[in-house]
Amino acid sequence: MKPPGTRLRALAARLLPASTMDYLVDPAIADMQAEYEDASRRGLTWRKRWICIRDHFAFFKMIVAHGRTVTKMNVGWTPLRGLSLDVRLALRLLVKHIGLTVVGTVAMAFAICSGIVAFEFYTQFMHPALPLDGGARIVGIVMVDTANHAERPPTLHDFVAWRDAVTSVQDLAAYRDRNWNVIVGNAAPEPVAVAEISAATFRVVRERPVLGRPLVEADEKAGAPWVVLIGHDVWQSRFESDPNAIGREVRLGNVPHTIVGVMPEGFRFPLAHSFWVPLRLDPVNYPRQQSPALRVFGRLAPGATLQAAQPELTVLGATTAAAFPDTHAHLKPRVVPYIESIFRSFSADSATEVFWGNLLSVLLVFLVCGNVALLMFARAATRENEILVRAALGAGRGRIIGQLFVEALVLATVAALVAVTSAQLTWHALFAMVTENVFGNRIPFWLHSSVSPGTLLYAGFLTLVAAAIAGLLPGLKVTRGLGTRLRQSGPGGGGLRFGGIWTVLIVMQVAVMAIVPTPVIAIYGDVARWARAANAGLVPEQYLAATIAMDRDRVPGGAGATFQGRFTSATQELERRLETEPGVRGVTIATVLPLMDHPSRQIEVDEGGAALVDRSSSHRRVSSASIALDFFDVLDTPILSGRAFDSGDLRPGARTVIVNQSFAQVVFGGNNPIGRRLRYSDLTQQNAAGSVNEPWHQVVGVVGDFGIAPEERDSKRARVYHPLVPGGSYPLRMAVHPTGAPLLFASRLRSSARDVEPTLQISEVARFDQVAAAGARTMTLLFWLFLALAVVVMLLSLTGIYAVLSFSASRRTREVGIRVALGGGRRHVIALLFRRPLMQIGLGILIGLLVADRLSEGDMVRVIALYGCVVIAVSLLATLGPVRRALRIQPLDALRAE
Amino acid sequence: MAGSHPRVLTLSPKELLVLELLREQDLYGLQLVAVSSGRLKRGTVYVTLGRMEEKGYITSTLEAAPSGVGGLPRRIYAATPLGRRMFAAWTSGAKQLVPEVGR
Repeated sequence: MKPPGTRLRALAARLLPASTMDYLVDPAIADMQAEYEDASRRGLTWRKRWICIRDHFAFFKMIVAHGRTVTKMNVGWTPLRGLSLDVRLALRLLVKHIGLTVVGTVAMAFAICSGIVAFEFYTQFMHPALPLDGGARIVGIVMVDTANHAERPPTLHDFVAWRDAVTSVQDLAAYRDRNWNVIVGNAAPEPVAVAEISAATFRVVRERPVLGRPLVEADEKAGAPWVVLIGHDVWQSRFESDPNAIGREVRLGNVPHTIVGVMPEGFRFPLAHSFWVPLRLDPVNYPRQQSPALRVFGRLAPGATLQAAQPELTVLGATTAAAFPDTHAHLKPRVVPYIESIFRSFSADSATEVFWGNLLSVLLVFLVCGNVALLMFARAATRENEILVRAALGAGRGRIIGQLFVEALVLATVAALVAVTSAQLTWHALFAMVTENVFGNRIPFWLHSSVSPGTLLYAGFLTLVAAAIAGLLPGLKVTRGLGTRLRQSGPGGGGLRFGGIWTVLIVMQVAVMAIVPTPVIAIYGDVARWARAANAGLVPEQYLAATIAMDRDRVPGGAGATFQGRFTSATQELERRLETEPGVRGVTIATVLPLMDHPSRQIEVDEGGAALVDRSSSHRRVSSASIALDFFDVLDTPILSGRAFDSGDLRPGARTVIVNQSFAQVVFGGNNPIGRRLRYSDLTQQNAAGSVNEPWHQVVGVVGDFGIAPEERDSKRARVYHPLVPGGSYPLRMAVHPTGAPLLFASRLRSSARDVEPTLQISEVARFDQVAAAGARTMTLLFWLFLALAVVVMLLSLTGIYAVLSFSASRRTREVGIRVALGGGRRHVIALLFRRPLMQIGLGILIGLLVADRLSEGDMVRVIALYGCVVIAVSLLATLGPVRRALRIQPLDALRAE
Repeated sequence: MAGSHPRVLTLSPKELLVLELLREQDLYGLQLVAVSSGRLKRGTVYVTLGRMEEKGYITSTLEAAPSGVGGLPRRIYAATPLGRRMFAAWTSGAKQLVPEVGR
């Protein structure tokens, strides 16, 4: 490693004369290195860093200061000295025109921030890169089903065949996901994702454990001891970074494993894993039709490419299809980049959407900076005399445009700093939202919630674009016909005019100002509806929700009746124990809990035995859930009519259901549904003759609507509840109603589960309202984004109006003076100056409100009308200053211009 | 470094401080900063030292480069007889003009 200060010295060698190095730079850097070495010897890491930062900064200042002195002495490079003057002038203007600074900064920051977030989204989700050594050469192999153009994972038999035959992909490896309880010592069991993975993986990823050894081929042999490789995070949190962790025991499910290695920090391959066990599957144990599905991957051989590897796989695929037409007739292997083999959903359509999102954000930069350019132009117009004097003193057009560009660049740089800070926060929130919705709690290891350096470079590019638009456009406009204006100009009446483009821009801007709040109001309404729905007929903050599952035996065919029986008895025992705990009001079980997404199916009703004439009206989609007998009691939901479920409903052939009010309304038109019958009529379950084999279910009770997300369609609000038959469903959801705070009960729930059955998995433990909050959080984020957009647009519009009116007033000072001298009244002056701008504002508002009315749904007319009044009032407010200034014009002052 | 024409010898407050600190022992640049109680800064001390060396108030010698780490050799500064005389002349003059200086 190079000693600290080496780069600083190289910089100094470029900037300073050689004679300076000996007495100025070298002693400084030598002292810093000595201090750094001293701190290193004493093991003071923080002090080393501090010395490095502090001294680099101090010496950099010294080099720059000395370099400037030398440059001054040698007269220096003239354009650079001019640039320094321009920057200082721009900084002074920032302070002088604080209004423009604030508005310009906020607007540009918003646009650049949008650009940063869109670009980060694009690079991370559309063009992700594996953060591994040579990650671009790691590939996956998927199976394409040509019959239905779908992709499916290869099987164990495919993997074994390819491993022995493929040469263009080295170290072919495979894994499959397992979900097991991990138990360390006496700690409560916790379900974790475990990768059953080939030993070859560690050659593919080129990563070595920081402790112990990786998995090796011998671990995959039948009868070898069960071993596990753990992640750095697990080593830190569960083993307190014990250097002697190798050899200790971890129970995964019901099997004890010996730790053989600890992987480095941040290593989560293949997806988001921290436990790796050997893939010990022998194809001999599985018939080809029941071969387990695997994810297959490897590293391209040296010199091989994706395109070169594909023909080899195609030939192998054709051979397998010929040998096993029953299973492989329509299957073709395909080599793809590793990430694409895991997530195919983020491509094609999504890529197009993200591209358009990116393009929109760039357009936003153009639009917003066009507005800022308008303000800059208005400011430049007030400085026309200064510009003319500069021109008279010999400044060329390029020099003046350059000055305006630097002014815009300084403003854009300030905005960029604000944008980068806010983009970090926005991206963090957006990342959390997207990953929660798409990946749950398993975020792929190649994604990260911080803005990447490449995106920061892009932000720099956007800043330059923003400065170019906001600086060059006014610069070109204001310097047009400079010579002519120099000859003709006088105070109060220069030659600058707003052109047609600016007029259109102002009208559009005002229109957008009127449109933007519509989605804000609509989203606010959605957020409010979410809150209302969460509270309708239920107090979700009082309940704890959890998902219950169980480790499956690690033997082929172990997922049969025995497993279901063990799961049922363990669940019932857990429920019984929890009910006897002090501080528990009730415990109940269902296949899906209120506020969660319910599965929906198509039903038909028995219309008194009459033939169903109109199938479309009698077939409806409704949502359904299977619930324990005490479900409504525990959730404090009364039966409105009919009866609740009892043990008789669990008898084979009983087939009773309870429906909610929406069901009674939508399906039975508000008539009493008690005693009526319904059955499922999904097309997939119809036989060839079109008749339906599903049995009829009789409605025995009606409950109120509760725990139904508001965005769901009316038909989906209709819900059918079935009695939960023991052993009939897996996994299950448990609802606990404790007397205290629900989340405090989570640890007791886990420990009770461990006591009942160590392999019982308790996951997704959350309050009811948190279960439903993901959608609400998305809405809230969208609401804030649109609100920010609305504020920026409104700010820009108001300042735009202000700038236009001020400009109009200042351009016609002399004319106003003459009119006032000739007896023109106030009203006449106002009409004269502001008729055109006010018409533009009026037109903009009208267009905006009409579009908003078309875009909005339901009873938004009053809101839009009210908002229209606000827009008009605020716009008039922006005219006050210029109107006052125009009315104060004295004829003598104006005529003195002659 | 010295020119052929006789020069008027000047002494700035910072240079005076450096001479005062170098009276007792030879010091590195950063040591001067450390013992000056914040009156000398890291970013300016080397400029001052370079100027003083040019004026002939101080002299400097290079130490051997540290072995093995590839770093630069350190430069240690010492007051010259001229520097000591300048310091003595300034302090005695100052004592006469401002008696508080001598206390």
